[in-house]
Amino acid sequence: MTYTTRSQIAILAAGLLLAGCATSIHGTPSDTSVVRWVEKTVAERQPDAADRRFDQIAWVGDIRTAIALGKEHNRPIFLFTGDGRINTGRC
Amino acid sequence: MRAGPLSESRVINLLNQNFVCVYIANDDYFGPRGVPGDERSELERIRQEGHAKKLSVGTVHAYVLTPDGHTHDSLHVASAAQTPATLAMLNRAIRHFKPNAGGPIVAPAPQSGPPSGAPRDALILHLVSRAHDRGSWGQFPAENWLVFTRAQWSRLLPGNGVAPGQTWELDRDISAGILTYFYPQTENNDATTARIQQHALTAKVLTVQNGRVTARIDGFVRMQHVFYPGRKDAQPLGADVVGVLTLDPEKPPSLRLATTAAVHGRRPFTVAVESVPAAP
Repeated sequence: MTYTTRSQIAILAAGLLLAGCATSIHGTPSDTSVVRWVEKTVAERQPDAADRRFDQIAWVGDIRTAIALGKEHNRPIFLFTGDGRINTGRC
Repeated sequence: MRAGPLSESRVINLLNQNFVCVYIANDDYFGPRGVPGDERSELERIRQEGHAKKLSVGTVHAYVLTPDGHTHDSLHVASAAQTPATLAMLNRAIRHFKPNAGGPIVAPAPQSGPPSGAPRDALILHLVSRAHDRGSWGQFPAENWLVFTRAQWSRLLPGNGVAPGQTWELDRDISAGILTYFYPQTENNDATTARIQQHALTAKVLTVQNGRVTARIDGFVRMQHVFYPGRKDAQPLGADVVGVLTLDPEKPPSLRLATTAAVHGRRPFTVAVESVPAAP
């Protein structure tokens, strides 16, 4: 299934639920399958290595620590200032 | 930045081999709570020095500082988000400072994790939300870490005499406190529960074995959410949710939730939530 098709289905499903329909187009897992379905789905939605490239940078915790380490190791400092939380993607 | 140069191997290697790296959230430096005053003063000094040197200065910026912390170079995020521009700034600094190149100054570590200082008996939830569109916003998921104290999560429990088939609605304040974060990556991250119009999470006991209760969760949230901070153009958001709640005596509950359908405006997205141990 293409991404476009999946997107269209998701939009349709969401439209149905927003319109107050009782069931989504995806349906919901039965009582006998719900534990496995939820475990599998939650695992599939975790950030993967490509999402976590940011973590490969050797970040220090604050500006004062960065300056102390810059002096100690004779290295310039890279500082990024941002709105929101770049580390969690809420930005 | 994170979707561009800060995920790019050439940039990561230059940073780790030649620089001390730090990022900050402006809210911590300009808001009513956050970092100590002397840390705030350092950021203000860096900005003032940038102004004095007629460098680009602003809230969302990449800076290069001298090894002793003085402002040396800068890029507005619109430029810094372009990998060649950031690479050029870093290489200029390397040529200028001729740093002691080598390995990273500190060991790289996960930057998103359970909050330190949460009570050992807290229920800690890790939420991952993702839409795949809107350019760099769709390049990596958004995460939240939610902490509920024992007094709070105790309100999720059913009464005595639990039996298969029994149903109950989870505490509405707690469920709102979870579902309010069911939104995709947006620049606005005001997650006030006042945005919620309707919500519920209902549990149904599936099994009771050796004191362990396993219940399925069904629920939904309907709310309004704005993409950009400060705008008035909130769009409707709806999500249907299924999950599993596991209760063991005298332990924080285990909870997993996943959306079966979710959309913000016309953006489909997914959410997954799972309980995790407290940070050591």
